[in-house]
Amino acid sequence: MSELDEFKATYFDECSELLTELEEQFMAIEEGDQDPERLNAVFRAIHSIKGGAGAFGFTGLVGFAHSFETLLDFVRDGRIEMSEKVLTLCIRSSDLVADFVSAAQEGRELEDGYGAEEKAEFEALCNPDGAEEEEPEDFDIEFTPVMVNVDADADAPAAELPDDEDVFESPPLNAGADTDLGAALDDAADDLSDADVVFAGDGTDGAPEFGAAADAWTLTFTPLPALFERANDPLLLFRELAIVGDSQVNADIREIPELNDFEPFHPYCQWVITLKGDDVTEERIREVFEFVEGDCEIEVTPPGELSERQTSILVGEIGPADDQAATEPAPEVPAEASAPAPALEVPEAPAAAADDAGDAPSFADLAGELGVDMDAAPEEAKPEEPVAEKAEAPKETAPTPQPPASEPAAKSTAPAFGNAPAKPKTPEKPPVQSIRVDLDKVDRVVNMVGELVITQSMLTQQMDETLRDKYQELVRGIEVLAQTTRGLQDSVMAIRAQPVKSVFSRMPRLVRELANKTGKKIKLEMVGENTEIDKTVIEQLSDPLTHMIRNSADHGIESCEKRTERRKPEQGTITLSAEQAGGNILIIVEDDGAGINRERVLAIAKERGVVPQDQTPSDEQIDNLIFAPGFSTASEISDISGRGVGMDVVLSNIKKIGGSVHVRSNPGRGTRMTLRLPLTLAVLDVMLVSVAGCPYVVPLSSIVETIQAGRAEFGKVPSGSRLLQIRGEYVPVVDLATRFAMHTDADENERFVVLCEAEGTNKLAIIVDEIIGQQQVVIKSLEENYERIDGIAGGTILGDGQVALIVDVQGLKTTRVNHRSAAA
Amino acid sequence: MEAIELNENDLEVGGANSIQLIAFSIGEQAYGVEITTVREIRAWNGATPLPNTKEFVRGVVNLRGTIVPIFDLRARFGAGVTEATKTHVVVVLAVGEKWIGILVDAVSDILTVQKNDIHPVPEGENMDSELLNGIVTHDSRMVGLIDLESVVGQTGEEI
Repeated sequence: MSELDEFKATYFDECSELLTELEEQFMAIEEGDQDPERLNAVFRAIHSIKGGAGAFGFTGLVGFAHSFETLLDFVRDGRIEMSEKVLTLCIRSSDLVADFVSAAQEGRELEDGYGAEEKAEFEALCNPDGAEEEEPEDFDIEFTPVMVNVDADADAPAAELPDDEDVFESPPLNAGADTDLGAALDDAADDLSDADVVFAGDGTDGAPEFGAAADAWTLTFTPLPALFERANDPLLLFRELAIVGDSQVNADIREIPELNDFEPFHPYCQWVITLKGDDVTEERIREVFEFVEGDCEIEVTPPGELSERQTSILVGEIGPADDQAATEPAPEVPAEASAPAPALEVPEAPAAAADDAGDAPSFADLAGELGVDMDAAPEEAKPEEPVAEKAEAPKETAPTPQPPASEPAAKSTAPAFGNAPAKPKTPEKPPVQSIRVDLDKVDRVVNMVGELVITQSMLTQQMDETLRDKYQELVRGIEVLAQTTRGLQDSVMAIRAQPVKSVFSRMPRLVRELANKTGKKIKLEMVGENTEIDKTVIEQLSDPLTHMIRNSADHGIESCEKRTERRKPEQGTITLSAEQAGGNILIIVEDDGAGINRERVLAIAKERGVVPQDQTPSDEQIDNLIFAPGFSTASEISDISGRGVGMDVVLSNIKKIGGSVHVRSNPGRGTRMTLRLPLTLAVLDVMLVSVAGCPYVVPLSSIVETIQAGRAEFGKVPSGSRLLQIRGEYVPVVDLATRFAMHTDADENERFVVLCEAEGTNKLAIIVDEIIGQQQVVIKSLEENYERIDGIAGGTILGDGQVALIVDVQGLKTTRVNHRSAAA
Repeated sequence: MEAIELNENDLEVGGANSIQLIAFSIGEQAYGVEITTVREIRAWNGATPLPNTKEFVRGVVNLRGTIVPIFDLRARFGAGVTEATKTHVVVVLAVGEKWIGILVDAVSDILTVQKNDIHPVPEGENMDSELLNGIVTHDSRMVGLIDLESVVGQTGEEI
């Protein structure tokens, strides 16, 4: 895998996380959460996706995401109201983004004009007058993927700088190398709330006279590469300094090269800080830098003195910041009379920035390279009353979540959210530390731990009483080993475990769509979203859940009229819950709808031959008939469900991951479907049997019961194969010895019949020589070193090191059918 | 000739002109495989038979947590299934991505042979040229170089 491919893989990983995030945020917004942070998060997610897409040249995605982002930006600063229509468009668009992402991931092309309709809608919304709008095509950014941090926390993205933030925003570099870039500076300025920030630019105009301040200490701080390598953040140091005394920080950013030559981990900046206060001593200053000693150069001069270097940095070199974004969000700190540096007073910033936007060559070049429409910058940089007014206007009429509009005095470039009074200076929560690990690697550990558990239980089994008396220390050791192993197993499983939220979060959307399509009123309640299950199980859960919820919405919940008639609340409720029960996870989909119409179900089942005409199954059996293949009760095939492929898919998917489905219905009151899933797929509960002296295991999840062959009733069909007669049912029989062409000496009557449930309600009776017991095993692949074997699902290693084969119940059944059809 | 060229590619070790072989016997006949493919040599300790496979697939064994198939080389050569005992030997080999074991009577020697000394397998029986890559002489005895790919690979088509 080339380095770029690795980046790409990471990008797609992150995309999937971001898309989930999008989903969650929109869901919250839909539920009426007005927290502007929601929209910010959406914006960030789209932005990050776009940033990465640009780096990898996924132009379609970039174009779409850009238009989407523009819309979001308008919504965010209040120019567009987050109406239901807009929200629906947004949600649909995030689906499209997901399509674009998956297309990019699979390396296929979406048809031309995919998403064009939505794009047009965005533009219509953003630009109702049809005035000229930034064309997304202008936007093919082509920066080299120097360092793409798609996790970028573009908290205060400057509207006209939507692209470069990603490239530079890397947490340890906040105030380091990336100082010339707007967004990073936003952060910097926010953080430095009690320090003035001045940037040394290349503009010499306005450079004031400069000399040593009489009452302030001056120090020069020049980070060495090691500082950033050790993840030190100069900001923190500056903040410390600000505690020591009134500080003013001047950054020398002259060394920052063109974007092409930019090396993210190189410290390009140095700072001159003046520190004023009664308590300031050299010692206290040095103390602040104690932890970075050796990783930076520090020069401290007492009040009234300046070293040559300090002078050279300060005198004549510090101009007003050439980047308006840098200064805008800077908190209002009155310029101090005695402050030696020409601190830009914040209120002036807009004007200064607007003036400067024109003659900031490095920024212009940069923006040019990025394909950013520079026209937008100065225009937006003007203190714009009209825009602000626009922002105000919809606010009065908008009941839906909407960012607080910026005050008229505030400039439009600083997004309304950024200036929201509620937001400033909220200390960022320390992010949860995490690493990305290849799932394969985790699986290897999981498997090895599985082996360990099995070996350990084998050891424990070997402990008999005599041994216990004789070797007490050994026994104690083995007991400790047992505990440690169990702990290890739990921890390892926890690595793979993920909250079911990632699947659940897709469901509210589904319900909403279903409600729209069917014209019913449905609300979805979710419980226990934080229950954790193995990642592989989660991945397999999406389809079954979708089908179950569709089924509930389509067949379960009645129409509004009917519900009123039945004295139920007009709005139907579907409850989706997850909980852990022992070694299983229960996922329950419950509705308060009509319940299963048993008469109809039975009639259809008989008509389709699923149930013999003369049989009267129990209520419970009837309820579970809905999982039979090809079964559907909807008399009209609806767009949503009713093609008869829904519920049997649920069953087969769940079976595949070793789970089971159970349905219980209360006519007129509702239906409850319960999925019982294993906590993990790595360990399988099995029954150990033997056939002709060879060990085989049968997954416990597929076993219904076991019967001694001598007591079982068999019948013969013309082909010579037998049928097991049990409780009025005839079940096909597979003798494993015959099937696997092995010779067994076991007495026919002493053998055992293992009644298994394959797919759907179909059963299969397997005859084995002996039942040895139950145990947990780790599934191993046979294909890894050999090839697939018919009738065998894999192998496993028993406590004594012997290999046992896992019987593929489903496979036995299908081949049996094939044999028969071949014979016919 | 083709077989030899292929062999030379396979056996390019350290750029030297010689290769090292592990020699083993099946009955009276000596065979060899390139030493770099050998992962482990272990005594025969039974295997779990696989249902409905060819007779030369003796089953699978557990090799430190992975399941490895064992091929009975004698049976593969059509000379009947080996009556395996504890003195029989399984040579575990890496063939491409896969690990397999071959059941042989005994491992005899490590040989160093010059690549130039590898003789092509004479035209004749198809099976010979398929299963052998070449022939070398050691102590004036013939040693057949096993073509591992075809021992394992075409199991579906053979027999």
